[in-house]
Amino acid sequence: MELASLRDGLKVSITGIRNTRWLAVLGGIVILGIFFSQLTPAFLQIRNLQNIILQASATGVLAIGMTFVILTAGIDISVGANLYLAMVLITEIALKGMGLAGNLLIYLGIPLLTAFLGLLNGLLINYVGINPLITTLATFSVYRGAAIHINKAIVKLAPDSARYFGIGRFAGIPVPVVTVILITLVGAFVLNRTRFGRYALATGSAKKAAVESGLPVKAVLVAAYATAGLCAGIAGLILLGRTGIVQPDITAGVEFTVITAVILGGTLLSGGRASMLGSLLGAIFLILIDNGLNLIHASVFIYDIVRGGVLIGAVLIDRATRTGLLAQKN
Amino acid sequence: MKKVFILLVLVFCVPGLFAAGAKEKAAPSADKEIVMGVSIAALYPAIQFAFAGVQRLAELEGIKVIHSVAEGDATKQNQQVQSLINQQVDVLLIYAVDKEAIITVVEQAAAEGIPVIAWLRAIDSPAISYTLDIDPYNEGVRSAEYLKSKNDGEPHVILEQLGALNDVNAILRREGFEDTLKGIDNLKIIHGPTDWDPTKAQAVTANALTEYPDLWAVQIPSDHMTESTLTAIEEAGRLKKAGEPGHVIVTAIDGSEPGYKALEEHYIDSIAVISYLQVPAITVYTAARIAKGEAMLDKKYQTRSTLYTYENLDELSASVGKIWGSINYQSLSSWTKDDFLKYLK
Repeated sequence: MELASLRDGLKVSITGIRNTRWLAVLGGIVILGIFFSQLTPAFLQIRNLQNIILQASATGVLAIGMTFVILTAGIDISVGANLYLAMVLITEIALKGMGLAGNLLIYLGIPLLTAFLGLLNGLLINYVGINPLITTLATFSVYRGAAIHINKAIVKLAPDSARYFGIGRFAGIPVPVVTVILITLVGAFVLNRTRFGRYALATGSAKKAAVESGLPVKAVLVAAYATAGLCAGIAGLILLGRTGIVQPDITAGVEFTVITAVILGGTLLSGGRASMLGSLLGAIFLILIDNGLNLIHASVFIYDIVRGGVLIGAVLIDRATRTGLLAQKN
Repeated sequence: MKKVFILLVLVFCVPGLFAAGAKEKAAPSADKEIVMGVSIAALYPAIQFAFAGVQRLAELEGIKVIHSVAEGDATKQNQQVQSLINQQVDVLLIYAVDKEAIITVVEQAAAEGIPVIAWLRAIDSPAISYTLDIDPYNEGVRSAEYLKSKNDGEPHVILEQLGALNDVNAILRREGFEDTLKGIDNLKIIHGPTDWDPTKAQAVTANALTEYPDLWAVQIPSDHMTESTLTAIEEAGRLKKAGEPGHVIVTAIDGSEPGYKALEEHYIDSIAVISYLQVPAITVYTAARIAKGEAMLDKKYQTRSTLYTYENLDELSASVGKIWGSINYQSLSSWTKDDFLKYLK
């Protein structure tokens, strides 16, 4: 019985590794692209396509981290607060004038700190046994509260050195684009080619079977939340660099955008199936909607309706896929 | 039997509990310390600045301030105001999250004899004793008038960034801006929704510059979004100082630090600066009079904005006063009464 259960779990995991549901979101991007390009010639301009990728970079990095959490059947709604805390800490410390070595230390250290905060989420969920939604809702409040306490909720200009992560170029390519591509490649490698990735998929698709077969399930789950925290820190660097300021409203609601991107990209909310490329494409898809609506001068009052519709669509696709997967298992 | 007993306790005690708080409050005697309750929707930079000034001046005047911050949550604000009522403050200042949702507790405060001042955001209720407000419509008008003064009659496109769509200040700024430019056929306005989020301000500016590479002007409804807007302009290769050929005219509202710095460096052209430097003195002295039961001649005071441009910045700073964003709000804790009062002149 246990062996059969494990076999099923691993079978689904292998299916997950070969998951090509990102093709669906890619198809969505192409269809939407054709639609908008018929309405405005500005849409297909190279400059606009560059804008879309640049605007999706921070959300894309967050989505890669969130994918690790969702594929283990978890959820992390503290990422926006973690990201905001990263922006606040970088600004507060770097503005004190730390010199080049000090700045390097900050830019490396803050993502590690946010990874630690993600790890705390994982520990609370898996070792204390608190529901992921409740845990991350609570830490959302704690991390955001800490950030507001540190900078007193004021608008502060970013340190000049931090702007590199948002508007700098590496080999002629904008740094945010290089960063999101690198993070996606690393994420895909970790998911598909490492033991951690395979264990995470197995845990997400059949947790009980994974536990019974002796996989280090708790450690895997904690690591998934730590990864989401790490990505929040990196996304914080990108956002701070791009906007040039830190401000309390800057990341409001970003966690829901990120979760939508991940689901759109083919990762199942119930876990066990994921696609890093899909998550990145999901982020691009969402930015593309705003970009297209903006370029065709759609009424500003319909943006929320369209975004909400996309979220419902994503959840319906998720449910249909899950039903199909269960039928396949049976 | 036990259930009946509990029911009886509830029937007799609960109404008593509410009746106990329903006594009308008398105005404090001359020698009694005034207690001012302040309920703040959220600590936006401008509000934080104004409130820091209120706290300092109240301290200098021997007025005790109890405050709460609702973080944009209307339900939470109602609970917090309820708590301030329970603490029997002498006067209540409310910067409302939602001007409709707050009315019930405003009426409750008034029924208990606590005068309520609608602070920096109007609340439409007869229970309001006094309104101290900014004038968002006028701020939009001032930005638009600046653009009108630069209009050369050629066809031009203006990107108007919009604040949160349900925010009364954002709505009135938009109306003031658009009413002023109505009927000027050569100026085309396109909209960019931002929800006050600098990342969205950046995105809509980048989009507008893609569609209209020769974009003429950008209107920013709150200048905390200046830096991200300028980044989008820079990435489109259009960042030039005001007055230089190819410059995108940027008009803004507020007067926070990012806007002030960009104006000083001539990267933006104008800011309709809200007179937050006047707010502490008007607030504290009005609240003190109302708490003592003194009659007010008018029931409303509306601050007017001043248009600072890159051309008149130095001149106006010398005569009218500094832009509030050029002052660190934490430094207000060492201000004297005279420092506050000079802005009323």
